[in-house]
Amino acid sequence: MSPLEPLSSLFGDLETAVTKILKQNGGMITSFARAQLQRLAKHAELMKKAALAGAFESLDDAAHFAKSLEEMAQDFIRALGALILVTLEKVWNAIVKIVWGAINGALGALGPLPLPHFPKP
Amino acid sequence: MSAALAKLISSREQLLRHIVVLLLSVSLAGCLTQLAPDYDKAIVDAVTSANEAGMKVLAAASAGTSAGTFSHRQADYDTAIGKLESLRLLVATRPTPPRHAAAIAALKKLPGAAGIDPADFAAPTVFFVQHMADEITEMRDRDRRIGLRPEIVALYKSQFEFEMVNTLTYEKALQR
Repeated sequence: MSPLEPLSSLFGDLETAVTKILKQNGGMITSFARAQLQRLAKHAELMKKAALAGAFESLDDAAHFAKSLEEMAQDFIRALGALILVTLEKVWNAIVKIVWGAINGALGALGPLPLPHFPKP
Repeated sequence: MSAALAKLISSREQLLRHIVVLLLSVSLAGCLTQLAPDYDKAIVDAVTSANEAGMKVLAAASAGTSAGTFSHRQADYDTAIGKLESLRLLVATRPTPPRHAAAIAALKKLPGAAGIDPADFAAPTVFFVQHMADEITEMRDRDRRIGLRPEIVALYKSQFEFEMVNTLTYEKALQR
């Protein structure tokens, strides 16, 4: 057996795991982002409609709703970043588990090493 | 090739294999890490309940209201605001993982992320819920003061739905 053969199997496992997570989470994040961007665009349309109908009490009132649109955009970025963080965590932990599985496989008779964890918050 | 030489080569291959795997483990593996809070079914249930209460208020006002009939809607407003405030407390007191410098540095490169505190990415729900609670409270006060035009209710509904989708999507993604 070539010394690099176990590595090619390890990289194969890593690629499969990472691709699977990115496919699942990436698809979810993309459809979430698309739907929320459409909602933001629709909200801007509703503001225009409200202005044309004279539904705002004053310019200050209209400015207040415009500020809400800004908050919505910021919250969208917060949600997007947070979902990416969850995906990063999944990818990282999948890599750790596979590599530790390979270490335990290589150590064989010595018995499995416990997987180290970051301390819980 | 003698048996001894074959054995030596074989054990060197074994050794090399172990060393490479161990090096990989040091450089890649480190520890299992947590970058986001744990999934909490109690929070998801509270979100669902707040969503129903908020939608009830918005549906009742969708055709527009007058301040004179506010008392008919007051109890529903109070229920929705109470549920949202209670949810805000739940998510604000939930333990969040420590900041992970490399992940945060990568997220700061998102377009529009410059003005956002990196800690928000590990605990975003508190903002979504706070904004929904503020908005329903503001809608109640406006309803009591001057009533609501249907165009204004449509704006409140659009904001509420937007924040609720943020909340539900994130909280469900924590189930991992």
